[in-house]
Amino acid sequence: MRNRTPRLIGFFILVLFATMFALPFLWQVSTSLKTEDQVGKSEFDLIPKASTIVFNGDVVQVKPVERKGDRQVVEIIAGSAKGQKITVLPSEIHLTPHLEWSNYSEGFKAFPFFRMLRNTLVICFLVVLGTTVSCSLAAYGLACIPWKGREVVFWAMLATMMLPAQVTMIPLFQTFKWLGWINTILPLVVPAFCGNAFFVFMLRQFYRTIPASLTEAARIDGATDLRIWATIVLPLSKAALAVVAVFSFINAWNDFIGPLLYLMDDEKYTLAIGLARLQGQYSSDWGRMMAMSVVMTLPLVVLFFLAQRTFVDGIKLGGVKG
Amino acid sequence: MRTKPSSYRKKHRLFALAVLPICVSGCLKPPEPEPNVITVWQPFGASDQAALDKMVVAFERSHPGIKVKMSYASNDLTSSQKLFLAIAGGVGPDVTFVDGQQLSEWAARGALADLTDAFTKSGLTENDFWKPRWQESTFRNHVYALPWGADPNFAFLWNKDLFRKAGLDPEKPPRTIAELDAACDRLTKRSEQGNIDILGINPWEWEGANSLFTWGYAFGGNLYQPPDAQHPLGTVTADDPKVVQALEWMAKFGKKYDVRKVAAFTNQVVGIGNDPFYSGKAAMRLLHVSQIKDLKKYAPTMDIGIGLIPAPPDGEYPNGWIGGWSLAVPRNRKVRPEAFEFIKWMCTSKEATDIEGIDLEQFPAYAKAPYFEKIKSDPVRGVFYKILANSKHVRTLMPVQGYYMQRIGRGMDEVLYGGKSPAEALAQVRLDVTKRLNSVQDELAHHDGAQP
Amino acid sequence: MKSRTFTGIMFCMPLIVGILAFTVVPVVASFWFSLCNYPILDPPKFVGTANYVELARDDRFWHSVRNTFTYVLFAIPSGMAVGLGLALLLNQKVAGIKVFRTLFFLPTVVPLVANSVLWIRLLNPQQGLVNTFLKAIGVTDHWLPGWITDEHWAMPGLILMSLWGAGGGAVMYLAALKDVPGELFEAAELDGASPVQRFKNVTIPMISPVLLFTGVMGLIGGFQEFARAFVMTKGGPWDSTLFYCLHLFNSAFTEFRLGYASAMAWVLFAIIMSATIIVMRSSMKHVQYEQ
Repeated sequence: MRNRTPRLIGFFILVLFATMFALPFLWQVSTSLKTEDQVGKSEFDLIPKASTIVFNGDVVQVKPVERKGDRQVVEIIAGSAKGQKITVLPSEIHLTPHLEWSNYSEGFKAFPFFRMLRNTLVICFLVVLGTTVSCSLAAYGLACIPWKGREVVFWAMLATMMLPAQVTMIPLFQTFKWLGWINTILPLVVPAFCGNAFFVFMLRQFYRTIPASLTEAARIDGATDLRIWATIVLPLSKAALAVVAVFSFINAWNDFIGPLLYLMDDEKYTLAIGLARLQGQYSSDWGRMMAMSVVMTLPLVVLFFLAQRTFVDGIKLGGVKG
Repeated sequence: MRTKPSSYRKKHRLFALAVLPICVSGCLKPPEPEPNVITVWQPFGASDQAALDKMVVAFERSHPGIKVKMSYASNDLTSSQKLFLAIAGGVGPDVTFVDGQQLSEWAARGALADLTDAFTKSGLTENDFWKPRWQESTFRNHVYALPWGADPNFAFLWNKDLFRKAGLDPEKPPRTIAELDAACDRLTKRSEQGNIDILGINPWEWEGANSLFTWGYAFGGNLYQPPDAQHPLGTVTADDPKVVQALEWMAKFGKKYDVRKVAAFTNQVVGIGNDPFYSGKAAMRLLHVSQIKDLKKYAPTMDIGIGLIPAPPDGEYPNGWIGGWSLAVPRNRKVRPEAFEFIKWMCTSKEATDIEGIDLEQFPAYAKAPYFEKIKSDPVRGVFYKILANSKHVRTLMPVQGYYMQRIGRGMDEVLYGGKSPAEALAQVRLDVTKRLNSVQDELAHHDGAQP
Repeated sequence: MKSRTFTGIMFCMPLIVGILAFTVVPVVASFWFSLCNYPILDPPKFVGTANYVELARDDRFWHSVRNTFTYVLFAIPSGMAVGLGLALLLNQKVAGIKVFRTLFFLPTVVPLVANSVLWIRLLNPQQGLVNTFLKAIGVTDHWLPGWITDEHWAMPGLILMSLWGAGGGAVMYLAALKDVPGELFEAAELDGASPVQRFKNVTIPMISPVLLFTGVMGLIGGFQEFARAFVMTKGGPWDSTLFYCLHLFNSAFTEFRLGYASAMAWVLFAIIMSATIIVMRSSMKHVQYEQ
């Protein structure tokens, strides 16, 4: 007899936590749909609202413009009476739910979205390609081939992650300058083809769980390591590789400091810089910034949603035993 | 062994593929700067971008043959990694924006090229600019930048409705600190849990050191003495008695209203460019000139009074200090005539200063800008103009500015959060910063005006 | 048989090239800087161990070390626990599980700026959702934390915020959980093991390689935590969230002391390396691979 209660409780907890975790994104979306004057209100409100009054029997959206004694002048900003200014009492202004899509349309105009998108996609594609190939090669070398010195390489690689980037920035910049790579995407892309310590380590952990019997059988049959890597290990680790691909894409997509430091021309800038630029020195278009932030986040969400089947459903390595 | 050669070749091919791009690109030379194209780095974003683009268009129209390429380079007022890396790496723009407070330090450390020659030949004189901003632009009698904006800090705003509700005369704002304290008494309202619902004023609303500078000047003190013959790098006077008084006032305020509760109150709307004042929760605030448009955006129907920052009877009234951006040339660039022409045009031409004032709500640093005639009698901007014309102060003309500003902020925390005595805290600040100042003397010695 | 060493090196060649080309020079240079006075805009000047000596005497340095250790001690294990819990939760065959997984992963992809602004509001002691929730479960006003407005609660606030990033780890645990053969669970159940025992004796050992990975990565990343504090608190209030790398950053780029910052970097390197070695060595007994 199956007890339904644990499953119901499990589901309930799932929903509760999911809402909590989705909150940052929901808040982003909500702010992106708020009107300018509502964006900064201190009350925490997930439902976007706008100021409205009743005009000629209709509810019309207005924008407060000026103060006249104890009345306010509002301007109608939508509908047939658009542009008209009316004087009303503060109590006549209501907040009604409203989705302000102009943040999105204005946001797209606020920076060269498609150009930056193209720049970003080029970099991301190359980074994902380089990372998955180089990291799985290196992980195979570190996990599946017993050779002298592999621990040295492993620890040297780990060590590269332990020195804060702030102090290596300048010599690294000078290295790239010496190579002539400043103001190109090469500093952002080439290192991806040289492995990434984080992913190499991760893949190494996965590869070490591959039964030796599998690889040994192939070697006895005369297969080279490269063939074993390509025909046995890669397919078995599809799940982990998908994780590498998705995560490296996300990192490259959101990377702000790299493009900012190495690219010098506005035309080459990426979305992450465009987004940061919406926060000005003296003004911030928060509605627009949130809108563009949502636009930048959506592809990653979709990517994850689609890719999750690959890396979550995994391949049962254990079943191939014996 | 017979299978090895093919995989061996394959591996070699992979290897070559990986290394080839590195070799090829190593042979590429960095592109030569195009003739008549000047690159400019700017730290503005958001809607300010449009105004800058307008300026570029106007400049190119009046200077046919010169093209301006602007790119974004972030400068969060504590540092500009992008610029430093570029200078250290020997690349960089022809022109860059620099924030006023950073000028002395960057100039002293040799980040900026010497513009003295170009300036002397340009026909401009130092009297063309508002004096405090001019002071920031020179170091050891060499010109390192041209001042572009002059932000009068700050105007004093009050919410007339809240005044009326509290029984205060909305047309008579506090003039002295005592009146300010009394007004806060009546204006501040708390909820039953002790949280602040309405706050009189937040004395440290301008993060860290900026608040101490502001109120320090109001109290009649100064946090440093500019360089002179005996002290070529200036003198730190963080524990100037009047400044100590200002901090004592803040400490008293903090004790009375609980600094943590004030922080909790303020960060309800943090980061949104909004402010408790705009939402009618804070009764008074100090306003920066660029926030005039925020008033329209976030508080269009508020009944606002605008005036001068209160000061004690033995303080300074009107008081204020000037901030603002400047235009400079990074050190490893030759000062190209086109670049200097651009800088000069941006800072002194009618078109540029008009766009600066009207579109960006920034006051030009060029005192003779026609923009000022337009706004002298404006009810809001006119007040800012009055502050600008009367301000003598500018922050730290010292090469340890970055450290000093942060050290002051920490000193304030020690007092406000830690309960340390203001005199002690500021004395320690003076000691620490003086020590740092002395230790950089050697570093800066060979930058003594001479440029490589 | 052809030498496995050669093959091993060839597979690791891109990695080795990368380390040689892009890491060796900056690392050696930064060590050299740590022995110098280096104001960035001027060439470095040798001063021997002066920076290290100054570090040892600098109160703020030790304060930042304590702050960072606190963060690592609390944020990393709890982050792993939350991630594992999420993975177990998400390992169910429930309708719409794909949507749920995506929702949990969202905070990992939301840009830091949007996240920070939201969290400042969430953590607001007067109005934020966190305190509203605490009030709802009965915490009295006196005990409501001030979070980032209070020097005692700012660090806990940042640690709390970091837990929302557990979705990233959860994904990896999920992939690992799926790899655990069902037969092992069935065998354990037949033996009469309770769910807790099954978890302890089957699940944990089977996913231990991934646990080790996230633990070590968490350690390495946690010690270098910087961005959150830089955007949200700038180290305040009263240096309570002064992370090691924030102090480092300020020294380098605001105070123009890259030499001192480099010395800090190398001390951090030593700390992280030691911690990693300890974790890796002690895990050798517990982590099960199949090779």
